[in-house]
Amino acid sequence: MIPETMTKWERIQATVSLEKTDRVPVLPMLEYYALRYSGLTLVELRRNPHMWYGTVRKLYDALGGWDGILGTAAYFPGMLVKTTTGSVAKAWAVTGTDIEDSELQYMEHEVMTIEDYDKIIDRGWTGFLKEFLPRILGRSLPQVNEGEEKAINLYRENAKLWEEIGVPTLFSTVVLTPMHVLSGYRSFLQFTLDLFRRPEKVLAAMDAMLPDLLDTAINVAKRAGGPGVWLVCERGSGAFYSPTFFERFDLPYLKRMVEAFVSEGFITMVYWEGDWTRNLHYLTELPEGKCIFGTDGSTDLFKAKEILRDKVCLLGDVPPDLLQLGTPSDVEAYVKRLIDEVGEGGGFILSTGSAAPRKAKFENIEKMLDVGKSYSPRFS
Amino acid sequence: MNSKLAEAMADLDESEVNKLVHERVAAGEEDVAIIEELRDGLDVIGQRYKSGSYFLAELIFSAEIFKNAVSVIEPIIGKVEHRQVLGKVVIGTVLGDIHDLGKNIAATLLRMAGFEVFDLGVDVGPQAFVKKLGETEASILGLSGLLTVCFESMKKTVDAVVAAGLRPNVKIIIGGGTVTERLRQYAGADAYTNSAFEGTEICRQFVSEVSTI
Repeated sequence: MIPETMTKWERIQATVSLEKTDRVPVLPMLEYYALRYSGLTLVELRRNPHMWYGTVRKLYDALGGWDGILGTAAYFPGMLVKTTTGSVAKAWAVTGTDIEDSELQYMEHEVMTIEDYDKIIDRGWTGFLKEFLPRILGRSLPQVNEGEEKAINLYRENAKLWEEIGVPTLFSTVVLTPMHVLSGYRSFLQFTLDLFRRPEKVLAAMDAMLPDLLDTAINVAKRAGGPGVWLVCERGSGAFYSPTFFERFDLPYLKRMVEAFVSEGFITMVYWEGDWTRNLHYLTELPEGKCIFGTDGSTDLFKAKEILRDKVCLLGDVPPDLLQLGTPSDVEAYVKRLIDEVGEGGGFILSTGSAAPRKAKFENIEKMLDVGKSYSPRFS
Repeated sequence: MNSKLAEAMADLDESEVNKLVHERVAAGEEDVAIIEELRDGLDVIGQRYKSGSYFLAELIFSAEIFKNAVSVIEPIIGKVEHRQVLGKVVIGTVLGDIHDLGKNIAATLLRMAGFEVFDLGVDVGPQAFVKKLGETEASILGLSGLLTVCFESMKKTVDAVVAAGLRPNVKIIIGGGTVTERLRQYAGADAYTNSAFEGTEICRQFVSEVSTI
């Protein structure tokens, strides 16, 4: 075992600041896996969200612990609606579909119309939500705010319980850039057509949205009291859009959001789901030593190290298919490679590539954590 | 390209394509010629995608422009026949998964390439795929999924195709964000892809392999 000379929080902070640490911090996303480990379903946890701490804690104890809680969509239900796509709510509201025991799923439906762009421009995002939320969710903004307050209280309770055993919780707030919010509400197809057919209208709406998105996220993050804000992007990648589109419709807003969160003292994670390898070089423009770039395994993390080495802390990316279909020796080899190459010189947090699947093999999760906590080239 | 229409199509000039198609239909021009020039434009779009100057967004826009142009022609001349039906594809998102974005893009690109596509939608069970394969005698099965629940569902679907005795006549391709070579092997599929465009190219290869036998 590596002699540990830092607390978990010290280790995480130093890693984000690109400083040396005693070992790589290990922060897996194991919330959904923890359900299966306890024989529980998402339906039960949605009805009883106070069971989350106990469920994850049981797995934590069985695996000898890890360094911090990242959380998943399961932890932030109330906060999703106003600051992200609300697509889950949209899917349930529009289709009446609620696949029992399912993780977050998106159905592409056009719930926002072309006419809504002008409403956003005229009223701002919060003003627009007053009409929009009842329309798509059947719930008013005050009702959503009530749900948000409950989610914040739950976050604070859970964070306190974890803190009592020395485990920090990093992110209290999840937020998307305007591009991703609008893409979710217009549907990917219609939004893409909007970018070609009415780009100025889209940009005007994004400009009008941004202040409220920022205010809401910062307000929630401050009330929750956690150290970080998690910015998720999934629909603007170089796998879908050209650099021209990214530079015009996403990057300026992404940068403004990151700068706003950093200036408020928050650790900001830019989490890009899907393949964003073509976009990595843009992240060199982020404030140095203040941000994390996280990937679900679809972006080349080794390439990210080459480009972002002295700029941005990296997080990832043991992939779901490896955890579910691979062997412990496959997992060991991959984790060691991550630590050797992406962890070289510091600035790397070992994590799963997005949430570990519920049918992952226990021995693979165990091996990932064991190797993550015990392997360091400096000590081998 | 020596056609204004093909050029407008290739350049994704939607208003110009609409204008030219309306003018030429009104002038009583041969529908086949108009469609062929639109397809010439689509071929250029495909080349630009492969060379990296166009992205998925441009493919999506081109599909919309093409669809609208065809809808102007079809009421005049009746349903536009594909110049060549390359093959039949049954496609769907597997059981437990309701994501449809990737599947829909793939279905659109396959149709534009000349495949006849039978889209079963989302959350599709193995037997529904088997039934459709039997009914249509499709030679390609496309399974889409994003959540990790798709791992087992894809395998069970392939197993069902085998159990139904259809496997020798069906090529199976799996696609989606979490799909990898490891999953392809586990599920027993013939190919995997993370790109709708690449998936179309793989399907073209499937049918060309059959035709050279």
